[in-house]
Amino acid sequence: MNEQKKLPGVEMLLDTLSLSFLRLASTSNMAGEHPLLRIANTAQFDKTPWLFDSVTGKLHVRGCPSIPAASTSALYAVHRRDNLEGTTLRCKRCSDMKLKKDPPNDASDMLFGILALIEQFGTILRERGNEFRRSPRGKEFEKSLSPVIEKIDKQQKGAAGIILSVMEQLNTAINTLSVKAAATDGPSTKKVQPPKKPATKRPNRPTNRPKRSKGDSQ
Amino acid sequence: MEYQDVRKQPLGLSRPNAKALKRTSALLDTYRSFNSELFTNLTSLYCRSLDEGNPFELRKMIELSTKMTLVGHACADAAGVEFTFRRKLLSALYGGCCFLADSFIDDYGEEIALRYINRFEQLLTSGWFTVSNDREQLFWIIISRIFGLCDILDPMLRQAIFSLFLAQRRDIELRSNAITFQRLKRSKQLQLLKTCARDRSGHGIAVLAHCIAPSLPLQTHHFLFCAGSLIMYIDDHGDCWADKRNSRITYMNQVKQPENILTRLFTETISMFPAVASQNASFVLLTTFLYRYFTTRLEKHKTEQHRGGLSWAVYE
Repeated sequence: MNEQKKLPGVEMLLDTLSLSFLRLASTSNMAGEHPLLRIANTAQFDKTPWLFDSVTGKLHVRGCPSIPAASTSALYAVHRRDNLEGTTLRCKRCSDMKLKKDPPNDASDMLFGILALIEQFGTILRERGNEFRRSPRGKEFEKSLSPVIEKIDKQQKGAAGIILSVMEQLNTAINTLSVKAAATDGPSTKKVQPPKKPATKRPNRPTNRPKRSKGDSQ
Repeated sequence: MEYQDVRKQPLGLSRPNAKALKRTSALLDTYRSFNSELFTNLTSLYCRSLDEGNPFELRKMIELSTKMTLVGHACADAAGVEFTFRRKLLSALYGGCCFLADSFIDDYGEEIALRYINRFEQLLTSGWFTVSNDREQLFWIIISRIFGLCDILDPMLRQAIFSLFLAQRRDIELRSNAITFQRLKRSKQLQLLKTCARDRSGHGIAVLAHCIAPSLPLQTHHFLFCAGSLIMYIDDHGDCWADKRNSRITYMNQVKQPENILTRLFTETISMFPAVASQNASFVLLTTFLYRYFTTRLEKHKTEQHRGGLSWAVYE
């Protein structure tokens, strides 16, 4: 590959980053282990109830028998529900078919996406973090941040403590409710079994029986 | 209103008025200068083989991206959005990307074309692409820039990109299974070729349109898809003799009366666009471009029939 000329400009910087990232990924075998970006996400497309025929300009409900065979490769799954109910683009045959609800947008997907990115680049982030911490600039940074981190740590510990005690109380409350619910339920219903009491060892009772003398049995 | 009702034109040909044609020519000149500077810089930085190789190849790249920039402008007008610098740059880069992707598939034989298709599939399913020469380096730079300028995960855009890939793959499979293809009935052959051409350019323009205007109305998507299909038929008619020399079959070089069929396709497509603009949307630039492209490619077809087509001839 030819050497890159160094010229100013944000685009040049981004190009350099992009190429460096690609080289880094190929040398560290990251490309083989983790997908970077999945543009072709057919599983998502298969979930939507509407299909738009780009050739005829008609909106169909998935499975409508009026979708021409020649349009199969020109169908687009429609994700936006806005104004689709009253649109004139609806196919006459399936316009009476009941529309299923949109698949729900799960916000937790986004959180997992962020976690996935952090996990994917974790090694690089950690290495860079380590290097930076050892550098003079990093040490200065650490000094100025230490009181803040300590404060956050204390706050975090405090917050964690509060959360733990709340959860403990919540757990106790749930168990109490479960026991009550189990007591009021009939025998045929499935119920939450109350927690079993731990088996207690019977204490040795003092015996009042007279001791048999050896001679009684004879 | 700049555009005259197609139904009133003689011979079914829809001729835009002189003002619209003049404006289109002026825009093409402006975009040609812009793209010339853009791609001269990019090739000098990332692709010496293009920069220092056959000068016609770079000119063809600039010409294709110029047309794509104008089509991008037309898509913005149809969507009712302003054609900002970002949209102009996106369109230009997309043209460059199409030129390079087409060259990987068309210029190195079937075996290499199939390998590139597999690599494009990996790019779309994992986001990774291994760069092994300067042309691929330029391709990666261009797509990185495009990804940075638009929301690549927009659902309609993703589908358009994947559908375009599938259409390209079908095209290569048709070419590499020529014996199986020849055994099909003629009507079936023509249907497959027509659908393939329709999808390649229809989805191609859909990619550009959704990059530029993510909230594109469905009806506008339909119009632009059909316009894109027409562009492919026009293109294939213009490249008819070069394709025949390279033993490449297309719908337009297999039909018996290509000019009549193309004129019918042109008239049918143009007549579907609304004559009256609504909510800032306008199809004037698009229909003017289509008319200009149609007439220049009819001319190219006639020129190359008698003279013999040069694969590196650059047509506007």
